[in-house]
Amino acid sequence: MSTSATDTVATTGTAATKPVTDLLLDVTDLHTTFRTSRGPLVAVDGVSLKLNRGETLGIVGESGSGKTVLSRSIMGLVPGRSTLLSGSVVFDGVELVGAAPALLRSIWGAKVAMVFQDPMTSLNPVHRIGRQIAETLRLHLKLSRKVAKQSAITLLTQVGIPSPELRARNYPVELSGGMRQRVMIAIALACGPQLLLADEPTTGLDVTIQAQILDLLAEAQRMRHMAMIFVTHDLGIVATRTDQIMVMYAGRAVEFAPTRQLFANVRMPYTEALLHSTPRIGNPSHTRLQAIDGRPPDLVHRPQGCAFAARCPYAQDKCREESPPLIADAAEPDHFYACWYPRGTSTPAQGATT
Amino acid sequence: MLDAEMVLQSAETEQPVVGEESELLEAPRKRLGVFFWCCIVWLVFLALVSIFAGLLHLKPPNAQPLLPGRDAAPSGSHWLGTDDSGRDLLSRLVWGGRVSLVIGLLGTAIGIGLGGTLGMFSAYVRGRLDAAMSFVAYVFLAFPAIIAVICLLFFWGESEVHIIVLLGLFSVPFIFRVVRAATLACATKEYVIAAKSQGATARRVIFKDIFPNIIPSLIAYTVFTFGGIITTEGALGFLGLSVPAPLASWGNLIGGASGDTTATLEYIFAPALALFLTLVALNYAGERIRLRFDTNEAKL
Repeated sequence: MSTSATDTVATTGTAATKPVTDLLLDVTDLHTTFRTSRGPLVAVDGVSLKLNRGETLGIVGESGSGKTVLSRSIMGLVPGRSTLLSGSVVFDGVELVGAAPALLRSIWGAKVAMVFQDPMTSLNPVHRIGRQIAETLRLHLKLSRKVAKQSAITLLTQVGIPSPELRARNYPVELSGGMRQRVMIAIALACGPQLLLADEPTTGLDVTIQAQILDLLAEAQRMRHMAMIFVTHDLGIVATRTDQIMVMYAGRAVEFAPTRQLFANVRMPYTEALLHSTPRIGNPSHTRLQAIDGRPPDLVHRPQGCAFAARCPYAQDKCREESPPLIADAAEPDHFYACWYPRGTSTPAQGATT
Repeated sequence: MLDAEMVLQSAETEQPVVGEESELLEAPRKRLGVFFWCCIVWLVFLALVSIFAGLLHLKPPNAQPLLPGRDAAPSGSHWLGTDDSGRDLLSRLVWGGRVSLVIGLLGTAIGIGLGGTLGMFSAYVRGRLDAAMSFVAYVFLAFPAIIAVICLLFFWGESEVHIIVLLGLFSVPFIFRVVRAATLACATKEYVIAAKSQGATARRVIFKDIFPNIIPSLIAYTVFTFGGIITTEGALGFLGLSVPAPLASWGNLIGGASGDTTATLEYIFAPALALFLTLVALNYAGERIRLRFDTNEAKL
């Protein structure tokens, strides 16, 4: 009798607390449309993705492929009024698309944080860096001025800034690019976010600093069991540091697979072209870099058929007429691609007729 | 060998030229200059004289002596002579300057407070409200302010408060436009987006992230507005529409001298010179400050 009562209490107890799942972020059919004077510009066109806690997703694509807009749309951080967001972004069980601004603000910085591309412009030039870190802490964790200041110094130590007490009193101009990016990371990590969006965090830095910053991010992620979305145009960076990779082209996911599978069996010709356009250290010197000819299409007037067809060396008539859907590979169910004539397979994809 | 020599030679010839050029480009922007400090000294002098006017043992500015020495030349007892009612001109100049400066200061405060807030808000929210507010501002800018002020003063009556409020309000569109432009440039910067991504509210972003960044241009345009209001007050005074008699202002004094056929040279020139010097000082100082802080993104 008494045992069954305790059982019931225990069950209700667990049911009342939020079920802890591995799934942190579930994006379904996300569209981001900018209203421009030339007409609606669909910058993100029906992207879906899932991300578990502690995992890293790499989003790769060239300039204008919609990867930055996607990462900002996931947060809901898009300029208002002229931008239309539709679809669904469920973060930790909370729907973010169409959420009230107050709800978004309580999540931004606290649970989802962002590291920006250019550390030269993403810190406010008129405030000391210690204060900029402390601001976020005071806003979300309601820390006192003194405690926040102490935490800011601890954070500066964690991101590897020497003599943090002195540095906290510096203005951004007094720091180098790498140092500033470390400060940006400290700000992003301040409230212990569950998801970190890193939007080309190493583009503005030189190569030796790049590796340091990437290692710093990886270490922070491991220690905090934080999920990360890593936006970049450099396949080399994501190859060793991600669990999954999404290749974007013209606002759509054109290939999406676990990192190992993607590099083992490239299906989409665009991914292949991106890989080939990476310089290799083993190549003889003065090897001509294989650039991808042409430009991404105009997203206001999207071409009929596959968006990559005009630049694709394997394009056939069908590619120019019908847009390929994102389908799972026959051999690898986790490997998705959008191509009528995928690479590495002798037969054309399902539904393709020659 | 020959190549190396040529490189050396060109390096030798080009190096100083490059250095000189960059110095030429840098110097006038960075240094405020001697003339700037002369302007500041004059303005500080004016401010001190105005603040401590009561302690200067001047003759009462509005007292008309029983035996008037009208339009008297400068003398030991009247350093700048007297006006057509026999009042001490130096005293009237100081007290009049005080009135002019107070009108300029308070009018500017109204203009900056209202125009600055509206400008930042308007630029931050964008959209229809911004378009509507900008439209209204441009209509006001297109309309000659002094005519509107004259008409309104005619109906409301001339008093210090009315003049301050009207001149302040008519400087709002000017400040609004400048602040709106500065805010627009600032609002698209990454640090503003970064602040938003950290969960800052609109008010926080406007006052903590945008406002400190537009202070330099705001300071410069505050100085310009101050000069503008003093000028307009001078014009109104000349037309007899500024502060009511017997109160003096620089405009009133200039107007009084122009209507006085036996006025001394000092009576005509002293108030005009004071106004002129003040305006030059304000405009030059404002321009130097604007250039000094006119940084572009690359320099951040």
